[in-house]
Amino acid sequence: MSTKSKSTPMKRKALFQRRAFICCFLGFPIINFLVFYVYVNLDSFLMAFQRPLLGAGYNATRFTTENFSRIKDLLSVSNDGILIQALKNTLVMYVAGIIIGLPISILMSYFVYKKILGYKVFRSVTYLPNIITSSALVVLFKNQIGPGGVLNMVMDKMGMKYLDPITKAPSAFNTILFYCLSFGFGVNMILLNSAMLSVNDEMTEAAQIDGCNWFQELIYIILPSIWPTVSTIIVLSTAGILGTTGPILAFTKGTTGTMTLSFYIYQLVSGVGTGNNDLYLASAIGLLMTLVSFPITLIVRRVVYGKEQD
Amino acid sequence: MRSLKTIIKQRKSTSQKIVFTLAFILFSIYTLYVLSFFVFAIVCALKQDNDTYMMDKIAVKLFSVSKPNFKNFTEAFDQLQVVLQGFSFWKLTWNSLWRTITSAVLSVMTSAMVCYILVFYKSKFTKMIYFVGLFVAILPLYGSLGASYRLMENLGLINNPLNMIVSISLYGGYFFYMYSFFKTLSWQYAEAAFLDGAGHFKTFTRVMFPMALPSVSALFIMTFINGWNDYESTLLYMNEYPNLSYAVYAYSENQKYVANMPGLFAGVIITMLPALILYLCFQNTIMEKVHLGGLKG
Repeated sequence: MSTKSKSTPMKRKALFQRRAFICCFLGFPIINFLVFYVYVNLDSFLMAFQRPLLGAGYNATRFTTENFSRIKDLLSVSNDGILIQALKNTLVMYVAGIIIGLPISILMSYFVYKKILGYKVFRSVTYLPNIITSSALVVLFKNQIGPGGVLNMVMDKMGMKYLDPITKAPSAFNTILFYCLSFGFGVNMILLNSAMLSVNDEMTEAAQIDGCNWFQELIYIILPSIWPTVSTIIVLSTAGILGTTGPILAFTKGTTGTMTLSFYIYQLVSGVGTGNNDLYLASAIGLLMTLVSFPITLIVRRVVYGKEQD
Repeated sequence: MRSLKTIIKQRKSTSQKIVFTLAFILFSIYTLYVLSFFVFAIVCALKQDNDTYMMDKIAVKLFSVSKPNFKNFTEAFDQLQVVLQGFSFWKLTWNSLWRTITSAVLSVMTSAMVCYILVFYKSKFTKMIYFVGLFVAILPLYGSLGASYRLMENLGLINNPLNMIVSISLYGGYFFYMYSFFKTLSWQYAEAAFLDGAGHFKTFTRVMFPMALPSVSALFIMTFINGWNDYESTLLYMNEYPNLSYAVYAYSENQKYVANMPGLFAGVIITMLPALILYLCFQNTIMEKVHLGGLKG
């Protein structure tokens, strides 16, 4: 009885200390999340159905579906279908990243994992574009492929007519796509390589003794072992499917057929390249993007995680 | 008796050797491709003047340099000041430094503290927070940039250093990377510390966090580099506190009117240097300490 009466206050104190510690570590981040994520997204939802009330003061709004009529206009051919172009470009960027970028990253990681000659240099160089600001890298890239650059030089030597690819559609978007793909292996390669390093060596050695070639080892041993990382990369990429923007701001500001959805929203908020901003239209477009991406993400998640998810 | 490695080595077929040689060649071509941009920047930055640059451009000889002019680098400093009126190179560097370091420290430390609780202090509440995190990561909501801008504006956080509080984010700072790292740490060290009389806070700061430091450092460096390179959010929220990346963007935009291409390339190189040096110093930490597991609910 006396033991119980002594231990209870101690336990209470320990419980209090534990809870105080948890609150101390989680308190501010949770408040931050409620303000800058929950409130912002709820407000964004409401803004999709609002327009500014002119002459009624700053931030005065009225509820309307006008934003969606504007979106309908933006989808029409008379407005050059800027949103259709943005949607198409965004999806192309995502698909290229998954179909081309990810397999190449897996192969690169595999050869680095197998310690190919010079693998440390290759690994460092592959990540190098990620540490350079895209505003600087784009300047270098644009000048390399621009008049007088390497592309010009090579085409001249081959006797082909040179035209700056960034000045016209569709080559401008294809160039940006090439830029994104060729400089985008770094992060995935680090993650995949790190996952490969945690694969049990005994498994790969046993497979090699059984006569497994490099391709069989990659497909039947390595890939299943690193699948949690691969699937996470795919799911996270899909979750951001419509948020893929690319370095459009530094390249073209969305001109010459290079608009992406995410950059269009950025442009509507910042007014860069147009001089006008429209926060309400940006929210309405964002709402539609969420509605489109929601089922796609669920399907992809289901496919990559399979039945285990259930 | 032959060792296991000898047996494996002998079994390597010719086709395998061909594939690895091919991979080596492709890797080498890719390396040359990436490095060519840096060589190109250096060569163009050393051109005598803009006229030489233009003549070489017309003659398609941009990759050659006869008389290197190192003055372009000092001129780049002055030109940055002209483009961003009133902001000297050192002011821009200072803005880059304080903004990046503050944001990276807040973001990564918050992420480490949140993940520590979620991994080691399991309860229904912490599990719920993790599941909300999964939901947020897997099903992001688009278009909140407008609402976010309006909120920041209403709170007076546009062009205000206090907007760094946004970095104290529940699911920021490479949340899932951090979470997957903390899962690999053993709780037994903390239990031993508790037995020695340490409290929760002391156990975190003196025992668990130092063990997490290599991975936390890697994520800090990645966050730092991302922050250093960010110019889009500067344009949106902090254009009165421009950083070096923004300066390069503004400079390249301005080149359409004030042409001094060698100066621009010199400016580009100067901007790249800090992140490049940091990367070269800590590349092994980044390469070996960052990992991401599955994302299952």
